[in-house]
Amino acid sequence: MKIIGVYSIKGGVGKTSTAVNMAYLSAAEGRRTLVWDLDPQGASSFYFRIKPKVKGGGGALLRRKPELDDVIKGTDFDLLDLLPADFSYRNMDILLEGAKKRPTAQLERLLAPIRRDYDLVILDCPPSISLMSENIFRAANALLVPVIPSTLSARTLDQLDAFLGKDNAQGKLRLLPFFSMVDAARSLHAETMAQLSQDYPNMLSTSIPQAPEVERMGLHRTPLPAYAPASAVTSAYRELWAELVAAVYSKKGRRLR
Amino acid sequence: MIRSSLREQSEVVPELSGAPIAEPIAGPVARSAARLDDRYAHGASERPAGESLCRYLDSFDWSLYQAGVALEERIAGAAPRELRWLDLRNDGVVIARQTTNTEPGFADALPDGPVSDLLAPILGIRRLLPMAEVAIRAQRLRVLNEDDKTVVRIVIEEASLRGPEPAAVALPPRLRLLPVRGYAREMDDTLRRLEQSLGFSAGEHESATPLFFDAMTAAGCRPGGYSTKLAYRIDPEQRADAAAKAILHGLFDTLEANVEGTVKNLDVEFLHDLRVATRRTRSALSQIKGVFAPPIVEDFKARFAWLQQVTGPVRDLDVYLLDFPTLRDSLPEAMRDGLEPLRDWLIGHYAEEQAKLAEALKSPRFQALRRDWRAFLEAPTPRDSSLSGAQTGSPAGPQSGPASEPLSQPASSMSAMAPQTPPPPPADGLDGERSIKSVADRRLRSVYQRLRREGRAITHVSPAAELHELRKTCKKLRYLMEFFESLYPSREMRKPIKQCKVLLDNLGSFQDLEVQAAHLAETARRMHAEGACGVATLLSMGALIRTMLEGQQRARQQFSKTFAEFDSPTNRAAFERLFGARGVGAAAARDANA
Repeated sequence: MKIIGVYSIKGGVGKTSTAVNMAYLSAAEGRRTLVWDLDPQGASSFYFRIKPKVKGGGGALLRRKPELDDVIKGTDFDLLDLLPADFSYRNMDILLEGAKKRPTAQLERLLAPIRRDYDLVILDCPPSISLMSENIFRAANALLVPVIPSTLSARTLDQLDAFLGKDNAQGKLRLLPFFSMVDAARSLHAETMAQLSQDYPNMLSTSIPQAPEVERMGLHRTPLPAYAPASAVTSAYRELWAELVAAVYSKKGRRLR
Repeated sequence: MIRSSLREQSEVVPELSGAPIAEPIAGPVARSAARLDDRYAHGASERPAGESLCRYLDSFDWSLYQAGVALEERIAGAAPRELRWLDLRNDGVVIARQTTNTEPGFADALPDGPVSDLLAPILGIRRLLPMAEVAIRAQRLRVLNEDDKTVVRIVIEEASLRGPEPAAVALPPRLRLLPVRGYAREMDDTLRRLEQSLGFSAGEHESATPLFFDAMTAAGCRPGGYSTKLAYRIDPEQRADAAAKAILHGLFDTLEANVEGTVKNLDVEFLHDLRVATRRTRSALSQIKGVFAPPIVEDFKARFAWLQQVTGPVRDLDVYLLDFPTLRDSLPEAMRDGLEPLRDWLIGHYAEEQAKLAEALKSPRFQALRRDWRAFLEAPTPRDSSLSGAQTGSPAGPQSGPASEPLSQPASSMSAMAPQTPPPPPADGLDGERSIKSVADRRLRSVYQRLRREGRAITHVSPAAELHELRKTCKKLRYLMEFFESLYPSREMRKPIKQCKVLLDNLGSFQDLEVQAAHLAETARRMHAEGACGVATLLSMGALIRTMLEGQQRARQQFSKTFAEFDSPTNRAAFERLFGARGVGAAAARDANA
């Protein structure tokens, strides 16, 4: 089982649509896939038409009553399941602090019992750097980081890089930033992209355009490739998925963990 | 409990109605499902009805079925064929699946995968054959909640058997509920509604039969119906000639069953089974002595000997090719590649020999043998054995014409079984009217004693021919014991048969290795004459001959020990208990005097 966090310190960068579409493409290829909606806003649960509610909330989940296994819901798509969000996740840092030992390893611990049930887990992470994100960094094999080509976004990437860099234990976590919500008409985007690509050689080559189809996911409440399989932005997501697979599953010494 | 029948994600099929439906789209189940759609504000067809083809595959001898599994091949449109491995002992649940792009045949030709791994040890060298083919029309409906989220899936399947005749046979329709994870309450609710709208109770779908069984029943297939095992149930008081015919008829059925597969060379076991049935037939003809007129016996013996002979060359090639990896591995590594031209040569001659064999099995001579033999086996057992000779080839005996008196056949065999009627003394020395049990006792005793006599006479210096003779006798004893097993207390024959097999294995490896070595030497001469091999190959074949002859020597050294075990006092007592004390007593006395 591989774990990929879709993560950004900044909100509104296309994180949830990336998580949902990557998960859909993964399951469509035959991988048993789980999306864990860790964002208390519950956007990916909403996209899959699943109520953002976990019995007993995040605290109960940390006590493993109920077990993770018992709160997973099947989506409308084969091989694709979802662990719904819960509003209590907004207090997750407090709950994690309360863990008796190893407050940064709680997510890893919770996922252990279902390791054999899924080939890929995609974590839809809440924005910000917090105890929760440290849990995510520890559990994940890779972080897929959407970056809007703007100076502010680039700063958060620096922050993340600095945060991960100073923490030795996270050294093996692979950072996979990519450009998201790219507006081809804006020359500033193109310039920023060129600059950032130089500064961050890890930057994936696919960029996801700003497109009305992506915004309509909220109306369809369905992954984009399922209702607009032929659109250009769907093709972009497919390319991103291919790059992600190559990075995470490649056998040539690029194992992340 | 309802859940138990629906616990599996997709494979447990609650059967709704035993009544097959004719119309493909508007059957009662589909109508009910449509009603269900109306009742469910959010019910929706997930996709249009899809058609697929489902074939059940097994070897000719049903080795998968015997192992409690079925192999289902699903073909839908242009997608790769899906193979599903079903556990028949557990409601037909799918244990493994994999895909393949080509028609499944031999295990080693399948792509690697979980099904292939399970199949190979069970199927062995046999070929998968389609046993039944079912066309399935499936419609998937989904039950939605207020968010238009799928919470339960409903699959309606209408299946019909596709047979050789144009008319397809409809199978009972099937309905499946597929749960969606995390929506158990909705599943229960749907089940309850379905029960109400379709009018079946929860208990009924506990007994859901896997589609496999419906398909087999409709196809008129009897899974496990073919076996080369001899399992005759003979009435000890039955007339010996009638019982012998029953045994021969069983062998003939096996022989006939394998003709087509042998002609088409579907796999090597067809020919093997055909040859075993032929050998057993010859043995029964000559060993169940004195029940049929000698001219008939001699005629058929000669004709079956011909069959054995024309089927020999291909079998030899089969054995070589099957053993080839072992033969190759028995050589020092440096000599192994030298054998490859031999393999090429064998393969090169295969098609030619197989064509000759197929021709022989289509020849008028073989058709006449089948016809005459069937007529003989199916002719009524004569009241007067002296007339049996006049009956060959002519279905109407002089005494009772079955064409004019259709009842004469059962009547004659019935009257022979009546204990009040003492059998008339045989007019010409034939024992056809004696009870089969008495014939069996006498023959088994006699062959057993001969086996002991011959075996005890063999010393370290005896010529090979004496061991060959002993093997023949041992084979006769084994076949007789197998034919007559049901005449003796159940299970008591098992151990003696087993002991015969052990002795036969020893004698067999002695003789087979000699024959193989001679055959290989002859092959080497032919290959050399044809310029089909170089020195390296001749050397490798020479080394192989040496390995064979060494093996033969080992078998010879083992013989006295193997025979002594066969002839141990305990085993002797077991044989004597079985075949009657009186004769054995006399034999023991003779042995003591000798």
